[in-house]
Amino acid sequence: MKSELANKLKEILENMSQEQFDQEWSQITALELEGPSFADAIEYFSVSIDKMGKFELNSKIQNEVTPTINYLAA
Amino acid sequence: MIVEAYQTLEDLDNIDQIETEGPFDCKRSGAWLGFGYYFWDTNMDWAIAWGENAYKKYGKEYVIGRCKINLANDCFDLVGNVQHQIDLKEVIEVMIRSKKIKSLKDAIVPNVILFMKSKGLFPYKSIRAADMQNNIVQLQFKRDKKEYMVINQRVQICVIEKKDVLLRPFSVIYPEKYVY
Repeated sequence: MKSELANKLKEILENMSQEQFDQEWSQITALELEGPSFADAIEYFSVSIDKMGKFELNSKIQNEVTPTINYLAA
Repeated sequence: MIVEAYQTLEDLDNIDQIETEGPFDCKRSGAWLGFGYYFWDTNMDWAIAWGENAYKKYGKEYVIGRCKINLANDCFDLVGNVQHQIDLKEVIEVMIRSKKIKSLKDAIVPNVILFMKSKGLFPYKSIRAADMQNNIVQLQFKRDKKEYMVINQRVQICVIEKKDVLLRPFSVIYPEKYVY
């Protein structure tokens, strides 16, 4: 995990009992906020290889630059 | 970075009050980044579109107020900061892996932001995020390729803490009849 924020949250959650979490979480859910679901947010911010496009350098650049990589993703 | 920001409000013939007491915070359930002062970032067209949909369509008039926002002061920037995007994604993954949330319908972004705030984990004074509208413009890199760039993202800013972030004056600048 790269995120310091996520690591801190993980530590807090690990040190919370389910009962304590339920109590605090219920105060939040009582506000009945609306917003993006976790699933939608993950999809929005994720990059999967199969969704990546294939970037091809045109032949002129390939000849002039001699690139070592001509695809960002196959 | 300091940006111009626009807030759309119902016209209740109270311009002086708006300019003195505004901007106003959002306490509706639709506050998708949590409670705070919501603005449209830089592009006033989004503020007008909101006014047309949220007010005009229902026979109400609206006004637009403008101020400046300092994004350099602790902004959780989901538009311009890739690390912040990773932060949010990983925070959500931690919540999921913890298996502490029992109901799927409660597993939403504003709830996790509120939870982090309540635990003193969210030090930010504003959140900047873009949503994807049907009428965004997709600029294709090459005509025969599927990659594209979005060039008119609808960017919103939710100001959580006004001090040193929200820069006055807050002036009503639309419609023109209120500009003097």
